[in-house]
Amino acid sequence: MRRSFTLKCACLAEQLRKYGNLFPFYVPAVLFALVFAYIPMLGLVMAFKENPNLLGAPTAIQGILDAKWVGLKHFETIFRNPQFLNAFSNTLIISFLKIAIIFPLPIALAIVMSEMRNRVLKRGLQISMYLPYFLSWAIIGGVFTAILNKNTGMVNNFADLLGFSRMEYVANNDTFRGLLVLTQAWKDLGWSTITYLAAITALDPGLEEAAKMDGASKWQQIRHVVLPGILPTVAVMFILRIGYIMDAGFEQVFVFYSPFVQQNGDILGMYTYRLIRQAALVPQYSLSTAIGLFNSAVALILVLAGNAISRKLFDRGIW
Amino acid sequence: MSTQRMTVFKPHTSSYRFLMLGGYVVALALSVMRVAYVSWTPSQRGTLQMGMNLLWIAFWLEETVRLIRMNRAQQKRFLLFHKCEGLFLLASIPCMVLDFPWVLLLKMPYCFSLFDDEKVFQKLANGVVIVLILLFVLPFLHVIAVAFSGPSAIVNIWPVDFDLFSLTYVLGDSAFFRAILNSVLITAIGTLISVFAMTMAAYPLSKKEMPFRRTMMVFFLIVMLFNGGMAPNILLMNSLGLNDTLWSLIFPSVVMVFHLLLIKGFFEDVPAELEESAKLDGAGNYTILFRIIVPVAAPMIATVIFFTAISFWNNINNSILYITSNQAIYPLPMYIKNFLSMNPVDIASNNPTLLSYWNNVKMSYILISILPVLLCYPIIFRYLKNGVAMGAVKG
Amino acid sequence: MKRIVALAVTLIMVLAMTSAYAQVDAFNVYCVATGKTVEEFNADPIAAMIQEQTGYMVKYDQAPADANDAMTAITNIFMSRSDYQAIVVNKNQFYSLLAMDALKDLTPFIETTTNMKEVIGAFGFETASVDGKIYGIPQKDAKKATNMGIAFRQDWLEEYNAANPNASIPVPSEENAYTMSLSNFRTMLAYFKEKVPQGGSAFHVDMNGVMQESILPAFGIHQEWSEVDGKLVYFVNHPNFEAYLTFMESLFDEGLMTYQATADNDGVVKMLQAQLLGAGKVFHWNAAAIEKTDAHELDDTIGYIGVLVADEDFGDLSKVRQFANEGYSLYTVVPKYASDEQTAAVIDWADKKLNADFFLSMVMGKEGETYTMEDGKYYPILPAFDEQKGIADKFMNGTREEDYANYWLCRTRKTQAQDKMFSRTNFMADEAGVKSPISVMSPNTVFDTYFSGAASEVRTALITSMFSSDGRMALKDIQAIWSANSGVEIDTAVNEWYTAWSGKDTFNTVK
Repeated sequence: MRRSFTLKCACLAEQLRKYGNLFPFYVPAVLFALVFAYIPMLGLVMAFKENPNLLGAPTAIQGILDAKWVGLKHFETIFRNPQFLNAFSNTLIISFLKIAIIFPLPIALAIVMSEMRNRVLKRGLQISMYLPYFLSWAIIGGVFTAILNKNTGMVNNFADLLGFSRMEYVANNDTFRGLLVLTQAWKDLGWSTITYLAAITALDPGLEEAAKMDGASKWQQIRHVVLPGILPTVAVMFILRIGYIMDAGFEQVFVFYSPFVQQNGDILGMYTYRLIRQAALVPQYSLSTAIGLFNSAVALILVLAGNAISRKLFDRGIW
Repeated sequence: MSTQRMTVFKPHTSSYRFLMLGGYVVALALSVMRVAYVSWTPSQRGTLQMGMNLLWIAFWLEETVRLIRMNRAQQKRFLLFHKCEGLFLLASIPCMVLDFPWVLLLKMPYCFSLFDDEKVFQKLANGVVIVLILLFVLPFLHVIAVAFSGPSAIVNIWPVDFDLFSLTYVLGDSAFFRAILNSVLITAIGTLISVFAMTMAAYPLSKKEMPFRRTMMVFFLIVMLFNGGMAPNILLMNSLGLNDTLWSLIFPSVVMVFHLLLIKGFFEDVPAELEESAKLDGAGNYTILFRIIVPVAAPMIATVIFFTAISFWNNINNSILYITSNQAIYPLPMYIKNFLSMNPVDIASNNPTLLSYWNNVKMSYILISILPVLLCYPIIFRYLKNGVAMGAVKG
Repeated sequence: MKRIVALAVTLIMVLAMTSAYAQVDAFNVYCVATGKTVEEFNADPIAAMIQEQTGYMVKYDQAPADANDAMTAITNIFMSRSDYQAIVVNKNQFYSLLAMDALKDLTPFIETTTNMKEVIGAFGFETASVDGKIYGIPQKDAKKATNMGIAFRQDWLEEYNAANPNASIPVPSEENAYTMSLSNFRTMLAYFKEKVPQGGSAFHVDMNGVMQESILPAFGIHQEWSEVDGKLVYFVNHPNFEAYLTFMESLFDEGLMTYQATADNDGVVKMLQAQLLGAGKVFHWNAAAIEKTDAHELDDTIGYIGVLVADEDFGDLSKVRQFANEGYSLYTVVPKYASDEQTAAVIDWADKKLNADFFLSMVMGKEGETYTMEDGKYYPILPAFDEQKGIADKFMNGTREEDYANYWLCRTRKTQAQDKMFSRTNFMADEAGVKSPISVMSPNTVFDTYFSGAASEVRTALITSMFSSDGRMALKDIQAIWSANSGVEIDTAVNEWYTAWSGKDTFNTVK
């Protein structure tokens, strides 16, 4: 054991000599991260303290230091509330729906686009597809609420013309999740497709030709040549996507939310927002920090788990 | 003897193929129309149902007859390759009784198999793409139409009561253009700093033998996942004295770990020979990174620049948290948000006509805020297309 | 020796003669959003006017327009100890800051004022004090008035009356004080339902529509918090609420009422203009938009109902009751970290602005230039009034309460359409308006902490219950939600204050 230890030390010293001059490359990123991410993270202690009086104390930091430790009391408050369970399960469900439906779509679209011959349509789609990504959720929300409006919206007007009855889409508990998925797909399809399209064009075209000459149908070509080729890219994107499961899109839900959809559409972010903004006299810093901490911890676990799975299946992880 | 038997299976004539396809499309259309039963009279419904049943029976019979005319071996082969056909035969009887028309979908693979693989694919692809283009473009058409319309009109795609008031109002708003300038400044500087920092940090991370690599990965991962919350960030910004300045809108968002990982993944796949030959030539680290590796990784770097720019452009969180008095440096999305949240009473007292055009003005702002993006579009697009096609993210 | 003593005495006399505080000439004020840019705000002629009158150089900044963003900004200011000496906050923010002990006690400074003590009522200071110490300058909403009414298509109503001469519905007009009876309303809606094309509706309600201020009084519920047997009850717990609930649910079930999930009156206005809607609740500033005019001609196709009355009370003007607003919604506060000198300056500055003549010229301008007077009523001269006095209310910190009530009416006369709606819906506001005592309640920890949460939960439940036929809930379940969200504590705390309140019997002229 001592020998391997000294071997390791020797290796380390040698590595440091070899790669030591690369450490300065970290400096800009680490500087920004330390100042603007790690220092504020010290505020996470608020999750374990009584709600500090940041506005009335002599200085705000004094207010944090003066508050007394309460351990896990805030976490208990969060978990005990019956709405929490609903919000939590909704977050998971909506995230899974988004992953299941929206994750494969860009892959399929990239494959279709790479095989297409009609240049006009291909270019047309490329141009129009990337446009929604530029818009923020406030804008998209405004546009879609106007379009889906039951009485004056474009979609319902068209449906009326065809003889269908007008339907409420936004304030409807049953259609809300579909609405979230649809608008998220609308926004994100473009940029995801770029990444996969790039991966496909990087593949060796010879393989596909060979498959064609062997008599494989289009579908078989795709299944056996293209998909395995882009699998590693898919893996990385997938792991990173899993890390964001707990997000489920707060900005998006906030824009479309109404009390009607609480059953299906209430996610952790909305629940937190209501808890803090509407139900208390003074701003609840500790409570919001506690919920944030919970979210982050779950996201960390998910990313690590996703990475381990990806290692096993695809032999490739984030690090 | 077997060759004679085989030729019973005649190649399909063109008319047969199109008849099948045509019949299939009609049947599908009728199924969709059934959902619109709501406003149909009973007699119309009856005719619809009758038509559907006729088509159904026709398909079923056609298939049964075709199968009967084959011999055992051919039948087996046929059903092996066209499993859906077999399913259709079996399932359609109970489905017809229970009135479930969607079982028709099972006929689809067969209908398409009658045609040349490649052509079918191209036609389908074109169809899907046209639908998608419509899906992406229609909301924008709606925005444009409302921006050009008069107040209170119900607009679909084309302007109603053509009226330029809302556009003239927006174009006459100097604060709006100042906000655009702010956004451009923030995006340019922010993207520069962020991409530079991330590229540099990705380089050592991509070297597998780099010491403390795991530690640094964890370091950055924690940055990505954990956030101190609103209050600590405000306090920090205040103690740095950056409140109400342009820097408070840039610095907090510089570290984007997602992009860091994308670049790192790309660097890892760059062939080692490039570096080694450069080292032999005596190049230092900075030269290697910026003169050799970055050009090779150009497609990914370009993509990251693109994503970073969008992220800075759309960010309003920083404005809400750190700007209290200096509203002159509001970036574009925040300016629009602030404008649209105005109290109707205030609008009515400042400018009553504005209130009646409110919806149109909203869409005009959206329209004009997309314009700078659209102007940069061709540049971004051309670079992306060429760069990305040059063998980007390798597997 | 004598000379030294004389010098010392002179010095002491001089010191005693100057004010107890050193003079502060300039300070910063953080105001509510004005709808204009900060530069325009500071360059407004009123700012110059104020500087001339008061002698202080004031720099104005404004909060973001969105309420949540404004709260964040104000929190930011207090957390960072930003250099502001006066901040204008709304009621919720005020109570929040009060609870966090972040405000300076203004009582000693207000004692020394001349105008402020007189023109701001005792009610007002009560709402801003804790244990007798005043923490903010309260600013009163201008006048006891109701802001909303039901706009409807009068042309369709007249069509109906022409077609049914025996069963005609009296058109809301001066003689019936712009009211309508419940069953007539329902008949009218039924007729509208036939008239309206596909996709339209007879009566439209938005997200804030559970408490229809124009319909509740017909059932005897006159305010959000009204008095029943000497105690204040929330409208959901009022004994007559069931009748209201049944009425609204029946409207929905018969297809006479539709619901829109967004809270902007845009929908109602748009639909009324496009003839897709028969009736809907609007605010008086929407009137100009509905009537599709640029102010100078009236549109007789649109009529306004001030309030509905019960069938048996129709025609009897003494039985009419309306929701009226009159309370204190804005407070000017001084942060605790401001020095005494600065606080004195701020209070002095606010005080000087309340001088009678100056206040008139600040808010109204010059007679003949920006306003005219007819029969004691003020009429604005447009566009001069908008240009010069458009944001005058943003420069106020406390008002001359009695005078301002009259001045403010001038603003509702800006367009004939707005004047038409406002005067009709407020025809009997003075006699029939019932105010909610809660609007002048002093800071109450229990109420301020729990009320908004409980109210929002109850309203959510009401929305889902009223506007969907399968989500119907029984009234007692809805009331149970109130109790489950600390409703009982709120009721107790409120009534503790109410029963001991001196203004209990004089606050409302009618009950």
